[in-house]
Amino acid sequence: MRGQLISIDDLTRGDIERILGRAESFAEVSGREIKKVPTLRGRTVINLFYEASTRTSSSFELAAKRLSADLLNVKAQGSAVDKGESLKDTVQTLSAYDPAAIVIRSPHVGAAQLVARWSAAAVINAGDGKREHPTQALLDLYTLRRRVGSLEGLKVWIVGDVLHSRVARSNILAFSRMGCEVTVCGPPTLIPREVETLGCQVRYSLEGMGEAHVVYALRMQLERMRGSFVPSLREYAARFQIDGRRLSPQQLLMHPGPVNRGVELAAEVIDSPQALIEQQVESGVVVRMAVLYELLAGGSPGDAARGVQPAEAATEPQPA
Amino acid sequence: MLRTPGREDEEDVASGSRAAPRRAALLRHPRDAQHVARRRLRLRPPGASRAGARHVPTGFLAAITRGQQGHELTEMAELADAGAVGFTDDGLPVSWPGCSARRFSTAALQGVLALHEEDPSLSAGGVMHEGAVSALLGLAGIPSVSESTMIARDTALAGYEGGGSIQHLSARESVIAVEQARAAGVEVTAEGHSAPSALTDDAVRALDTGFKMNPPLRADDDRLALIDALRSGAIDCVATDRPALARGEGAAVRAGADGRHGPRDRLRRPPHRPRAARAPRARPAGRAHEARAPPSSASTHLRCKSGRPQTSAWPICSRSGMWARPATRVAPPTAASPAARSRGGSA
Repeated sequence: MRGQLISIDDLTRGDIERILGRAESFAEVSGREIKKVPTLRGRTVINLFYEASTRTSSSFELAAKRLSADLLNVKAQGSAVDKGESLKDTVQTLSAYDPAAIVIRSPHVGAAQLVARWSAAAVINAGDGKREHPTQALLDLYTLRRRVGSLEGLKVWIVGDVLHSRVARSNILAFSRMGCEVTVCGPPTLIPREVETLGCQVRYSLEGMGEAHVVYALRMQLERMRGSFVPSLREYAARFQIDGRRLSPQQLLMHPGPVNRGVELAAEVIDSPQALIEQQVESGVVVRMAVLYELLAGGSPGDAARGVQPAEAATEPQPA
Repeated sequence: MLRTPGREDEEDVASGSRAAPRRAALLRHPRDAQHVARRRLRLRPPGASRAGARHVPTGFLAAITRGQQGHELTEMAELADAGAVGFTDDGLPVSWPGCSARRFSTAALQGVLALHEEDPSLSAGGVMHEGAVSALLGLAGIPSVSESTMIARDTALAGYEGGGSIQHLSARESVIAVEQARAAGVEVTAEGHSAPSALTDDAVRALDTGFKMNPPLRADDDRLALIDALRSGAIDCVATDRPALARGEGAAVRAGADGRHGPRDRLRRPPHRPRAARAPRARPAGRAHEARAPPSSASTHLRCKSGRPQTSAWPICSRSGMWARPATRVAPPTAASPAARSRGGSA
């Protein structure tokens, strides 16, 4: 069974529903004292990370371990990548271990696609440059759905540095696919031109944010900025920071983390009960378990739409 | 544009001229003019005697500025004596206006200036056309205005100091800038870029670095504007300007080298189109640009065979100033048969 998760664009609404449903069933596993199922026993999952990551790499690691897969962590620092080995050579070397899945994060757009071309393993995009981060979008949908029930018709405002954000791109696609109305908001320098073609509205000020049911703040990606996109963080915070004054008590707040405290979010809203930030991190494990399961044991996410039956329906997670 | 001397691993005279259609001229681009001057190399075309090389008119363009850094002019007079037919910093703009002004007046005496038009402060970091596709892919964009603003600047300088040739137009805005300059009486020539005339940035969606190029593939209205400009004569010729760059596979879009497709790929007849299907058709392009050729300078230009109907959607020869040297330096193309099609009949 070969599948891949490169972009949210490859998933139908049905695929997403199925992954979220699967994540629900794994949430029950995570509630147990022994949080492990034998589903992927004997399979190898490789975490190939060319960029710094805490949440994504650790939650993929936990997800693979809870499914009883053998896990190999390869980081660019300290590996042959440091010696100048190309992505292709690295992937071909690692493919010799016959992994069932390769989870790849890279600073380069399209890296996951290339890996999928070179390896027979299932490939999961854990962030490719500024393009997409599909598992983050899935876990955001999962978190929000657990909190509010149905996503249909929700108004979601994505606020901040959309230009440098792969999370924003995946989330615009994912939220609109699930029937939400998406608006992106930020200073014009941080909104890509023609972003509305992705299926969202564009605003350049927080005026009108009152209509939103959910405010999704993005991290200011200071490490990706070359040149002056904002004159100063102080001015950015004055105009676009989500604080207690701007966020009404009925609105929910999300953030992919890590938060720049005092820049995109004020301290009081981070710790408020409206914030789903901690739940998002928590959901990371079960959603990534669901993705691994769907790719390796179930049908691939794209298959539902094409009417392909899951190859190994017998390996359902066994509760109890 | 060939890569000799220096990078014959990417494209040499033999491979490039084998690929070139009739009526094409190939320009060889010594990356390091200093090297040429130091070693007193002769920048002469090798002619048909060279093994493997079909007879295609070939000439050398030398660099405009030292190390293509955009600041100090090269020894243009010496380079012209050594056989350079013109000058270019192709791949890089001459960003310092003072230097630009001087290079116009110097080059007016020595040969033709072929200008790569790009404002690096607008295009920095960009890897593809800025538009809907770059928004979707999260790739940094090269806006059309990074080209057109530089063309506006250089055509203004050309009007003041002497003519030049604008290389590889890719955007609608650039066509407008050239048309405005011409309307104001500035004598500039312009070449269209073959790839953006045939393809759009939609091709980049698949993230194949073969479609990464500078100037980039642009939107469909840019493509149509280039074709219209070619028909009306606002663009004088089509250049492939794609050196086949040697860089292994395995590069993601941001890291991958530009290009990869040379004349080999660009000018090849599409496989599905049999030769017999290329019935000669009269195109307005030929007549239009013949009529527009300035009589004063026409004698120094390589021209399409006079009176001959253009049979290709992509006339490869023209009065482009890029080849504007006395005929003794570059042999005119022996345009004996209909020009080969470069890309299919997509125009």
